[in-house]
This record gives sequence, C-alpha cells and structure tokens, in this order.
Amino acid sequence: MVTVQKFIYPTTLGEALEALSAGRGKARAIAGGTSLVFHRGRSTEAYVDITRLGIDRVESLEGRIEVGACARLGALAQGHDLLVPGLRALPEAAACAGSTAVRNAVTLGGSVAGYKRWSDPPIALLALDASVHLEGPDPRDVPLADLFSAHPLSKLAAGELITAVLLEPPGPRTGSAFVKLRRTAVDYALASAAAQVVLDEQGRVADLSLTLGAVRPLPTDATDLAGELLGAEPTEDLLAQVAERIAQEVEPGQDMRASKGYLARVAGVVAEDALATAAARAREEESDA
Amino acid sequence: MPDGAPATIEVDIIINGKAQTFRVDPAEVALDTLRDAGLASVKRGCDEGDCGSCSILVDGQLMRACLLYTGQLHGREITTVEGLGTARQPHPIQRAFVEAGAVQCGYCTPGMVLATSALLDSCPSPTDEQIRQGLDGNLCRCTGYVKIVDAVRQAAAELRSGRDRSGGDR
Ligand SMILES: Cc1cc2nc3c(=O)[nH]c(=O)nc-3n(C[C@H](O)[C@H](O)[C@H](O)COP(=O)(O)OP(=O)(O)OC[C@H]3O[C@@H](n4cnc5c(N)ncnc54)[C@H](O)[C@@H]3O)c2cc1C
Ligand code: FES
Ligand code: FES
Repeated sequence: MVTVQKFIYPTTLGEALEALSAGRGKARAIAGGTSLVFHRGRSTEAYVDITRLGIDRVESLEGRIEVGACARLGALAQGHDLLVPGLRALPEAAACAGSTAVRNAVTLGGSVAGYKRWSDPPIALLALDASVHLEGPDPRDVPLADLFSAHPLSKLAAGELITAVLLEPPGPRTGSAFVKLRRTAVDYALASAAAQVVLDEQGRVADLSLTLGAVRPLPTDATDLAGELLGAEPTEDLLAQVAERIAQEVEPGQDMRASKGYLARVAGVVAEDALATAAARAREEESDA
Repeated sequence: MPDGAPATIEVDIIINGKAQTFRVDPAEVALDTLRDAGLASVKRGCDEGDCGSCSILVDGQLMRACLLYTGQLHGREITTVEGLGTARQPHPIQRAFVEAGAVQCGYCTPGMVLATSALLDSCPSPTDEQIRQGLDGNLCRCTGYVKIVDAVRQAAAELRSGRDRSGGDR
C-alpha cells in the first residue's frame, strides 16, 4: 500500500504544478488538511502543501472578483469590500462552516475540491454562478456548475489545481444570502440554501438563482422551483408558495439525523429565508445607490 | 529509500518561541508530535475536530492539532498554554479562569484559554455573543459555560486595563 513519504513546500505556482505533475498516487495537493488528515497519509507518496503560494487573497482583476483558492474560511467570514451584498452569501456561508478553529484551517479551494454533503461555501458559490480557474496541463476557467455535475474531485485531471474562484461583480439592485439549519452552533447543515435576487426598478424580481445544500448528496439547483417569483414582487405569500413547492418537489436523501419528510419541509423553509433576505438586500442596494 | 523502511521527515517548528526540529513519520498528526514532545496541555478528546481540547495557535490563529499533519507545521510558529504563563506567573487569562471558577476537571481549560487568547487578540472588548462565538468549537462537560464566559469577560477587562497602564499601543 502506498503511504506518504514526504511533504513538499512550493512557494510558487510553477513549483507546485511541477511537483503535482508526478500524477495520482504520487503527489497530492494538501490545503487546510482538515479532510486529508483523516487519510493518515494513505494513497499518495507526497503531499504538496499549497498554502504558501500566495493564492489566498480577494482581488478585483479584469472586471471580475477573484478569491484565491487558499483563502481560509475564517478570513472570508470577516467579509471584504469586494464581497458586496450581491455576493454576501459567500462570507455568510464561510462564517457558519464548522467552528472558529475549523474555519481558520479550511480553505475555499479545499471546500470545493474536497466537497462533502455538508460543505457550505460551494452552495453559496453555485447560487452566485461562480467559476473556478484551473491550472495544470490545460489551464482554463470552468463554471462551478459543470464541476458539480459529479463530485468535483472526479472532474479534476491528475495534477490539476483550483487556483481561484471567480465571481462576476453584481449589477444594481442585487442581493444574496445563505441560510443554514443545524442542531447546534457548529453542526453540519441539515439543510441549507443560497439565493441571489435581482430586482427591477419597480421592486419586481428580474432574475434569481437558488441552490439547496445538504439535503441531497450533491448540491441541488432549485432556481426553476422558485420560477413563479420572476416578474413578481417577492411578497410573503409568494415566498411561502415557493417554500411549499420545494417541500413537495425536492427529494431528500438519507440523513440519520432526520426523516426525509422533515428535510423536505426545512429545505423549503431555508430557501424561503434565503430568498427573502436576498430580496431585502437587493432593495437596500437600491436605496444606497 | 529501501523498500519497507519507514520514511521520516524533518519538520522545523517554533514552539512557544523556541525553534525545534522534529523527525517524524510523514503521516503523523501534530497532536501526537506535540504530546510526545511533552506538551501535555494539548489534549486528545475526540480526535476528529469536534471538541477543541487539542487547540493550539498556529501563527496566532486558533487551530486543531488533531486536524493537522505535523508536516503542515513546517516553518510555522505555534503557541500552547505552556507558552502563555506558568503556575507561578499565570497569564491574565489563566488567572481569570481560576478566579472566576471556570476550571473544574480542567481537561478543556488549555483549549478554552487559547481560544480566549485568540479572541481577545482580534477583539479586545467582546460582547457576550462574541465570546460565545469565539469559544464555539470548545466543549466543556463540567462547568455549563457560564463561569467560562465570566472568565473571558474578566480577562478582557484585565488585559485592557493592563494595556492602559502600560500606555498600550492599541
Ligand atoms: C469537525 C469538522 C466540521 C466541519 N464542518 C463543516 C461545515 O459545517 N461546513 C463546511 O463547509 N465544512 C465543514 N468542514 C470542512 C470540510 O468537511 C472539509 O474538511 C474541508 O472542506 C476541506 O478543506 P481543506 O482546505 O482542509 O482541504 P484538504 O483536506 O487539504 O483537501 C481536501 C481535498 O481537496 C483537494 N484540494 C484541496 N485544495 C485544492 C485545490 N486548490 N485544488 C485542487 N484540489 C484541492 C485535496 O487534494 C483533497 O483531495 C468541517 C470539518 C471538520 C473536521
Ligand atoms: S481532539 Fe482535536 S478537536 Fe477534539
Ligand atoms: S472543566 Fe471539565 S471539561 Fe471543562
């Protein structure tokens, strides 16, 4: 059986890619390590520590917002000037992933590549229509939704690294929110939802996206289930109807903590909350402008 | 490397201000390395990131020794409770925990003290809500947390007044 023989500490992206080009079973990226530590060194010969490459900043580049893959969730949870209300779902999701000490270690890239059913940041990123930048044999940008058509790790080629998450700066009257239901302050999500809502000048919904987390093995795009909001004012009644529809149509997977019926109900509730908060933030954006 | 011989790596870590080099199995977890080095304050509770009894500060950030390979700490500075104060000269946070009655069996205490230290570093005047958030990953099975929150409040006040006295730079 292969077990780890060494750690490599590259300080540039080039060095890291070079080390990772050894391929599967030979070299593996380690970021926060909070998931890989449970492997106890199995199934690779070298860990390539990617936390020293300087890819942990939030920046505005070529009209897009880039969040470095090794940004720690604890830092993102503090918020950032570039993460305006239309993107608030991201710092909000980062702020409720595990406990303080877990967030200080977990990286944004690790929470995408090492996705688990309870991972919160990817739910926010999907609702924000994010892409990721991949480096390796074939550098390219990939919409996150494509990466999540199966487990993201299965979509990465050997030696390929996520170096950044890319976000479009939101237009006017755009709000977003992430809402998570859990049993304790640090529990994994039973159900979570992230929404982005764009309002027109009359306060009607011009565009929206909605992603549900935790209820199924992979994130669930529920944008169509909220379709009746389009062109309408997001009133309490309408939002309650959306919640009802989600409860009817989402088909939760097994979770030892709760019945499928319960999970379907609460998926509707967190979706309703996320949409309502996103819409409220979109309205505030207008009054600021 | 001959087949079958276990690999070792050298890991340089500054622990409580002192540079040290460890020769360890690359699969080793920091919690084991630190305990083997005699740092008994770093405690094994759950071994999976849930309880906070293995808390350490890595470059000033609160982290879990059970969630890190020792190799990840290469070149980093870590602080444990041994680096804060001694029984004769306790750190103000340690004194506040004793005075507030926040220590019963004591198993969670080193983690609580380090979580408090990290919190007060970034937030010298926390609200009770911020105190509870700062300690959100540290479980205590004895005290019921009320006295621990009291201790953090008391430590915060003590550290602020200490800074005032020394014409502090914050
Ligand atoms: C007790 C506990 C509670 C938790 N609670 C939550 C929670 O509530 N919500 C939540 O969202 N998360 C939570 N997490 C975190 C989550 O389970 C994973 O541990 C975490 O997302 C892994 O991120 P990491 O940076 O530590 O990745 P690592 O463990 O370093 O890596 C994970 C995988 O991703 C790969 N990888 C890492 N970075 C990259 C990259 N940039 N490019 C390509 N591949 C990469 C690695 O090779 C590995 O396969 C919790 C973790 C613990 C231990
Ligand atoms: S032993 Fe590390 S968190 Fe419990
Ligand atoms: S004092 Fe016993 S666990 Fe906290």
